[in-house]
Amino acid sequence: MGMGNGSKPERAASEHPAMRLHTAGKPRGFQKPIVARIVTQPVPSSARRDVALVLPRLDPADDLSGYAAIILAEAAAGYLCPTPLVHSVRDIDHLRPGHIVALEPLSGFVRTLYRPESPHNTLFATERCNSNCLMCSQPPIDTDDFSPLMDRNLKLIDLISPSPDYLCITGGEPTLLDEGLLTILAKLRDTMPSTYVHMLTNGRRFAWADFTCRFASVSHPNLSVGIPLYADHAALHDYVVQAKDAFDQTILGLHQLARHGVEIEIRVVLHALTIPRLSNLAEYICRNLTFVDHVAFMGLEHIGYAPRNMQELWIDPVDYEDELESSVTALSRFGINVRIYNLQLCVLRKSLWKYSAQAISDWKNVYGEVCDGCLVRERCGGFFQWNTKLQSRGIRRVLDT
Amino acid sequence: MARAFLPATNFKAAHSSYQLLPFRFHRLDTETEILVNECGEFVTVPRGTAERIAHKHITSDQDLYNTLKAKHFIFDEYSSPLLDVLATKYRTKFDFIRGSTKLHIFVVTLRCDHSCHYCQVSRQTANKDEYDMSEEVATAAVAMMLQAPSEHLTLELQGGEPLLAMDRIKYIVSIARSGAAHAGKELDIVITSNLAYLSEEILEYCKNNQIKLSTSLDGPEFIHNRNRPRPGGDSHKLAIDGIRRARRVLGEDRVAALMTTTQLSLEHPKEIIDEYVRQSFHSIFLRPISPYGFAVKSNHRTGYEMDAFLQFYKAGLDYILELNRGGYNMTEVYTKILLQKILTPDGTGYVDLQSPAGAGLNVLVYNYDGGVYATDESRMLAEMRDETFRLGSVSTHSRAQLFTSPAFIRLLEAACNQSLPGCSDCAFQPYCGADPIYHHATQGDMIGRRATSGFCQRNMTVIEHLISLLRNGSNDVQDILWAWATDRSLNELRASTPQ
Amino acid sequence: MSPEFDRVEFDDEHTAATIYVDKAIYSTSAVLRASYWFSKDLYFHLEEEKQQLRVNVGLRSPKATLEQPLPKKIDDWLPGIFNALVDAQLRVEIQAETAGIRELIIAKAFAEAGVLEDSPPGTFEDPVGVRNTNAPPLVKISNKPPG
Repeated sequence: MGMGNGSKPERAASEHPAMRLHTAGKPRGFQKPIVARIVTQPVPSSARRDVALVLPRLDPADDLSGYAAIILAEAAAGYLCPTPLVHSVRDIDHLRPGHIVALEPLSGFVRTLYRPESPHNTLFATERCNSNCLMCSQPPIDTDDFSPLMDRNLKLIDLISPSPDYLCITGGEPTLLDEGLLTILAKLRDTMPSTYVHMLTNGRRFAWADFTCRFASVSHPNLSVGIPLYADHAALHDYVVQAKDAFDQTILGLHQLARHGVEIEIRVVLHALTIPRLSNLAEYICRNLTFVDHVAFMGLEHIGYAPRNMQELWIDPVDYEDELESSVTALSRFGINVRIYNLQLCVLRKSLWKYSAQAISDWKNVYGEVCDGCLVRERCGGFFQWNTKLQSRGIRRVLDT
Repeated sequence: MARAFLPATNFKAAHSSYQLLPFRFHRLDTETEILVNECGEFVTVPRGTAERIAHKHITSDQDLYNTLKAKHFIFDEYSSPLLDVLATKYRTKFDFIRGSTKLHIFVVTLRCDHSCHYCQVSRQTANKDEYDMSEEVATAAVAMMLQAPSEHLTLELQGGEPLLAMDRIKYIVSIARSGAAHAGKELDIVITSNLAYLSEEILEYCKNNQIKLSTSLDGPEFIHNRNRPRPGGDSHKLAIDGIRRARRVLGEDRVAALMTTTQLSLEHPKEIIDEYVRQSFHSIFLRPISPYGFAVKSNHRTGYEMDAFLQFYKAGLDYILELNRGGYNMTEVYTKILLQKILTPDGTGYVDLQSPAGAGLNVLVYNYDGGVYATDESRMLAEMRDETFRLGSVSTHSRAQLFTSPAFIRLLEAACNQSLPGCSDCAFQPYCGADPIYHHATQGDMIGRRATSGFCQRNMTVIEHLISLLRNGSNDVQDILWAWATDRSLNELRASTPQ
Repeated sequence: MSPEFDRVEFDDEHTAATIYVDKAIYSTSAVLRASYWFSKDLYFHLEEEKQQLRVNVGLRSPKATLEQPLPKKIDDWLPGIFNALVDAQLRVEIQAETAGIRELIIAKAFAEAGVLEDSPPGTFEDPVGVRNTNAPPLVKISNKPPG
C-alpha cells in the first residue's frame, strides 16, 4: 500500500532542516497506522493518549507505557515495552511539540501531517485523480487509498488543536472520496467551524447536480474551492489536463457550485500552453464565470510531471509579461479580483506587484544568493526549492521601487 | 507507473465540421464586421467572416475557430455546446422581467406654475378638485402598486408640479410606506419637481420620510429659462437654489437632475455639461428631443432632429470623457446603460431599452384621474386625446385586468424586438429594446418602420460609436467606459487595475 | 461570394432600375428583408417569375429638393443593394440553421430549475475503480442518477 513515490516534496525538503516533513525508521509493535501528537518531554499518564514521545535515546528508567508511540533516534536494543515504537529514526530535530505525525507500520515512515506554527497545513485526501495534468505537481497514483486516508484524516481532525486559521484539502482529486469527502467536511464544520477551508479540486464532479447539492448541504460556514481552468475552449483545456470532457464538466461544475453560493477561486497555471490564449481565457471567465470570487494566476512549479513535459511547458515569465498584464487588466476592469502566486517580484512587471501574494507554502520557500540586498525580499515569495534549477533570466535583486 | 500522455489530436474533433449557434452580424465599415451571439457576446472580424463561418469554411486549426467556440458562435462534436450555460446567460439578461412592475409613477396633480415648451400636460389653474388626484384614487393606486410581485418598488411622484399637492403626497407616502412594510417590500420614493416651491418644511418632510428629489436642469441660465418659462423668468435660479438647499438637508446623493432637450440645447452641449459640473452633478443624461409634441412631426423632421441630436451626443460624450480624464467624475447615463448591456451579463432596468418593452411590464403610470397608463409618454399621448396605451383605471380594474386589457395585448405584440421587422435581423438586438409607444407616436404604428425610425437610428448610431470607442479608444477612455459599465468611480477602477 | 445578377435595366433618368434576382440563390425572404432597410429613400416592387424575382427599385424623391439638391442616381444605390441582398440571404441561412437551438436555449432559460437541463457529458470515473475491479464498492463513484 504505497503512500506515494516519485519526486515527492518531502525529499527536496530534506535539504532544509526546518521544513522537513518526512523521515523514517524501523517500526515495531503495531500493525495499523498511528496518528499522534508529538511531545519531546515525558508527560503524565493521563495525558498520553494519542501522544507520541520523541526521544534521542532510551533510558531504562523511562516509563513509556500509555503513549500512542515512541519515536527513537537511536537503535532500540532490549526494548520490551508494548508501546508501538519507531527506532533508528534518521532525523528527529524537526519534530516539535504540537506537531501531528502519521507512523506507518510496514515502512516505518514518520510523516508530519500538521504543524501548528505553519500557516499552510493541508489534509491530503487521496493519491488518485481522474485528470492527469501535464504539469501536475502531485502526479496521481492509482491506488486504493480510500480507507487508510479516511482513517488518518478523521483522526487528524480530532487531534488538531488549537483550530488553525486555514486548512487546505488537496490530493489527487478530493471529490473522488464521494461521501467520504462530505464526512470530512462535516467533521471540520463541527470541530473547527472558524477554520477557513480551501479545497483544491478539478471541479469535474460538481457537474453532477445531485453531488453538488449534497456537497453544499454540508453547509460548512467557511469553505471555498480552488478550481483550475487552462483555456477558454475544450480542446486546449482537455489537452493540458489530459482528459476528454474535462472542460465541459468543469464549466458545468462551476455553474452548479455557483447555484449554491459556494466561494470559488479559479486557478490558472502560467506556461507555454496557457499563455497564448490567456486574454481569451480572462474574457471567458468574465462572460461565463462572473460569479467567481477571484482568479489566481500561478507560476509554474518545476516538480511532478512538469520536468518531464518542460519542453512543451517552459516559457520564461519575462516573456509573457504582456499577456499576463492584459489578462489581469481584462479581469480587473470587469471587476473580478486577481491574485498572482509563485512568481518572484523581479520577474513581474511593477504594475502587477499589487496582485502578488506570498503563497508559496513555507516549506517550499527558499531565497537565493541573488536575493541578498533585494529591496522587496520581504514581500516576495521567493522560489520553490525545485525551481532553483530552471530560472527566469529576469531573476535579479530589485534595487529600485 | 505513470499514465502515458496523450497528444493534442486526442482532444479535438476528428473532422473539421462544426455547427452554428445562433448569431447575427452587422457591417461596421468596409473592413470589419461585428458578430453578436444570442446573449450579447460579440467579436469583431474582417468583412466576409460571417459568410465564411456560415458556409463552414473555418477550419479547426485556426485561432478564430477556438475563439468562435469559446464565445458560443459554433460548436463541434468534440465538446458540448453547453446550452445550459448559454441558457443561464440568457436568463440573466432577462432577469429584469422578474417581479414585474417595479416603477410606479403617480401623477398627483396637473397644476403647475411653469409653462415649459415641451410639456404636454400642465394646467394653469388653482382648482384643486379638477386636476388633483383624489384620496380614493390615491388609495386604489397605492393598493394596486403593492400588488406588483417585485420585492423592491420605486414610487415616483410627478405632476404638473407635485409640490403643489403636498397634502396628497403626504397621504400617499404614509399609506405606501406602511403598506410596503406590511407586504415585506422595499420602497424607494422620489419626487420630481421644479423645486420652485421647495420650502424648508417640505425638505424636512422629505428627510424624515427618506424621499429623494429629482429636478430639471436644462443647462445654464440662458438655455434653462428659455426652455422653462415661468412668471418672473427665474426658473434656473430657483432650481439651483432648490438643489443647494435640498442637498444640504437630504444629502449630496439624494438630489438628481435631468435635462430636457430642445433645439437650443442641441447647439450647446459643452455649456450644458459645464453647468452640470458647476452644480456638482456627477451624472447627466443626454436625451434626444422628445418626439411627443403637440404637433405631429413628419418623418424627415424627426430624422433631422435625430441627426442633430447624434452630433450633440457625440460632442457631449467626447467632452464628458475629457472631463473624466481631467479628474472630474461624470457619467453619461444612456452610455452607461448601453455599456452594461454590451459588456456585462446583465440586462437593464431602464424601460426604454428593454425587450420585452418595459411599458406596463416594468413601469405603470397612475394618472390623477385614476387612469392607468403603460408609460409616462403614454399618458402624454392621452393629453392629446390618444388613449391607445391606457390600460384601465384603478377604480374599475384589478391589476391582473390591466395585463389582459386590449390595450396591453396590442402593446405586447409589438413589445419584443426579437420578432419585429428589421430588429429580428439586427446584430444589436440584445443591446437595444422595443418602444411601441415611440413608434406609435412618431410613425402611427406600434411595430414601427425601422428604416425611418428615430429610435433605431439613435440606438444603432450610439451602439456603433461605443463599439468603436471600445475597440480603438485610448486606455483612459477604456478605463472610463469600464468604470461606468461596472458602476465604479474611475479611481476605484484604477485602484483595481494594473497601473 | 460575389453576387450575380443577370442584368440590370435602368429607366431613362436613372431614377429607377429593374434587377433580376436568381431564385436559386436568393430567397424571397432575403430580398424582402434587404429591401426593408432602404424604404426611407427607395421604393421596391417585387414580381415573381419562374426562375427569378423581378425587383423594381426606384428613388422615392427623384426630383431635387431643398434637403436633397443633388439626389443620388439609382446607380449609386446598387452596390449597397447588392451587399444588402447578400447579407440578407446569409441571415436567412443562419437563422434557418440555428432556429431549433435558439428555441431550445430560450426554453431552457425560462424552464424551472432542473427540468430541461442536460446531463453532464462523459462520465465521472474513479481511475482505481475502473482499473481495480476488486476494489470495494465504496471506492467507485456512480454516474447513475440519484434515487
